[in-house]
Amino acid sequence: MPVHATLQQAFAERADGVQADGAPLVGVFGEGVPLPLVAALGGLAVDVKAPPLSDETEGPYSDLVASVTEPFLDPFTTRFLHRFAAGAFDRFATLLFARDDVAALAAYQYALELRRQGRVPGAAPRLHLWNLLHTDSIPAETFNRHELERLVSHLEETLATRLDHDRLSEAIEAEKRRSAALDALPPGGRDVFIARNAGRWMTPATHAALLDPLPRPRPSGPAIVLLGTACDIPLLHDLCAEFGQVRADIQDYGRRAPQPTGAADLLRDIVHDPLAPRAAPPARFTRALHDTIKSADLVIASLDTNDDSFGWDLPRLRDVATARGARFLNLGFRPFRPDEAWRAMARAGIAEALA
Amino acid sequence: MTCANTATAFQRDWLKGLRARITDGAAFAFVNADTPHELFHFMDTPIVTNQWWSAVISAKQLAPHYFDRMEGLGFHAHLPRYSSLPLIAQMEGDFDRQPWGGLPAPAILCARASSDEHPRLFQLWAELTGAELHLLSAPATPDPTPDWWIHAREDWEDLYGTARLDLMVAEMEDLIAALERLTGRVFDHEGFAAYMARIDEQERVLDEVAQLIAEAAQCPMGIAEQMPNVMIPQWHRGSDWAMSHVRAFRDEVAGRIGRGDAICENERIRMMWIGAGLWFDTSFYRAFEETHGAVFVWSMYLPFAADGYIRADHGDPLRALAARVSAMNEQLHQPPWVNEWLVREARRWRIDVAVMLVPEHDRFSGYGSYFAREALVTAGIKVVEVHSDMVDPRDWDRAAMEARVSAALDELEAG
Repeated sequence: MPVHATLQQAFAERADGVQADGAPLVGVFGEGVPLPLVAALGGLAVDVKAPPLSDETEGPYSDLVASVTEPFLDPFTTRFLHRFAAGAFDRFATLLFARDDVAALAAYQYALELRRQGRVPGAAPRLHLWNLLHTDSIPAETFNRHELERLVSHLEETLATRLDHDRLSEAIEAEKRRSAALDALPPGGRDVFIARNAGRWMTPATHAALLDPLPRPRPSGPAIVLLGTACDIPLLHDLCAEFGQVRADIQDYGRRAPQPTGAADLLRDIVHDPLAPRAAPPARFTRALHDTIKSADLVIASLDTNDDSFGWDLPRLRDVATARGARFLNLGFRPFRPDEAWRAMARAGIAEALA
Repeated sequence: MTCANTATAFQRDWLKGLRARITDGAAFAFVNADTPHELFHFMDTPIVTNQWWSAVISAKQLAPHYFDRMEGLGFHAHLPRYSSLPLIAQMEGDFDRQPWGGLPAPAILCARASSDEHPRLFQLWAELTGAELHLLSAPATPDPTPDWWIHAREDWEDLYGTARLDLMVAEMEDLIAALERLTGRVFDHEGFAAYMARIDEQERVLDEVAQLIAEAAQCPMGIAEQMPNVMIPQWHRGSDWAMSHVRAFRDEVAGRIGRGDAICENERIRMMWIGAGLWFDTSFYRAFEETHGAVFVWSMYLPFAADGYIRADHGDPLRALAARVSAMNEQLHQPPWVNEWLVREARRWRIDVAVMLVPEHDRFSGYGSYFAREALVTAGIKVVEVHSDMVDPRDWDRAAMEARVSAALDELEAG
């Protein structure tokens, strides 16, 4: 599948390459923010969690940030903070941080503190924490409504506009058209990973227009399911390509987190996302995880060393997978940007698991 | 016998008594430290606190066995440890190995989702024991006020936020309903107000103790002795025993100060221990008294009893409890709360050196450490980082740590 050059470029350059075309930029760190709300208020939602690919070798480094970031801080957070201190987001109107995402919470708190101490100049962009509870209860629903009102107020104030119901409906429809275009793509593979994620740095309409509908390839080789913590590069899709087909990737950046499907309730689909890391009670998450691996021949898990949550599911996941006749491969800790030695280790592990 | 010995003996006997009660059919709760213990106490449901039990297991030098076991079960080696140790012991099921014969199955479980591991750990507890699970939500505070301790006692509505407090109150009401079902008792709101007032009184006594030790010319009681005197009454807060104990603790401290007693006659350097206790090696706290006249005078447990717990009820004790609980742990670990509080405390206690435990695996506790370090250094405090764990001694090198702290003390003394 050839990926449109624009998508390739967007995926590589990420927030740095975004062409705003007059729309105020609204950075988003983590899943679970209702993106059509941003669009309806005239903003362009842009992922700021995943740094540009060039950041690995050319990214900024700040002694100030290094002095306050523990070596075991989530690397997405650390890289964000170095970029934040270097002014990478100065052209943004605001940055929204999803409390669901540990990396986002830390990024918010550290950025806020650096600014409070006056050690990072300027007042832009604004910083906003987006709390959302994934609990099916009246108190949680009440709290979520409050947080949504807080978010709407923040965006209205920041973007100097008012929420209009028609524009919100249009934005949701645009998001649904994008979703339909994504549905037509195969579930895994390097090109799909790039094409899908490139949409994080453009409007839904532009993204949908660049996604060519493709016939799904005939299944060949073992069905592989990828599980674990956020991975913003097609590393595991590349590694799996020679062995089978990735049928599901439910790591952040591998999966498509829900977005609103109706203007009447912007939060319902997001709140009920069973694969949200803070889905409550966690048994919901575990059940969804087990459902995901139902048709797998091989389940591959890989985690960041900062994982606090997924690791609790690994032993049972292994048992469930093997009880269903699937093979289970735990690649262990995955570096933020794995070197060739790690890739070789992972490749050998996959080959051995499928032997 | 000192108060600390009395408290430790009380807790040991209490757990033995609890086992007897449970054998006779009484229900108990297994809960995290930052949950509303008050509701369980008031409904006469005994609790065992996860982090306390973890510390006990660690103090018995059993943690390496369980953490090896944890990895053997397929859990990865970087998962948080402090809160997971009791779960692994329970999963192993060898109660003879555990301190005091281990824990029977609880009837109810409660955790706050402050960090991601807690809901999952307690879900596993629920599946293992069949106990009813109560998870309290923990949305983060978007606008943390740096000098939170000034506002927390009276003006907590604005500090913690109305929506967050509404949520906590509503979720606590669900928990109360569960406790009513469990105990067959009706929650007495008036009685609860009186009970909460007693807890405030208890914490005010501890506030007095903190001020006494902070102002004392020489430290009358080190942190290894302070901790059981503070935390064991805290696990039983508001009870007659707890009230009586903290008063005895205050009197013992005041008496020592009055007599000019000092745990280190040659006290020259005052130190603070930042982080949870070093539960497997508490003798470390006294390792520098003879060599350097350096005394650990401060740990978070005593001063936090006041700043973290005293909450005016303003006619609504349940809401005051929500204010106590809704950011309890966060205040100890997240910027700007932790750095500002530690600097204030360091000044109040005339601290020269801070030894900071940085637990890499318990990231909720580990994050924010460097902001605290920077703030303390800026305030003129020498900081020694200890990258280790509160319950797992496998990476702890006592000799190397002593050498590092000694070097810092030497440097300080050299001027």
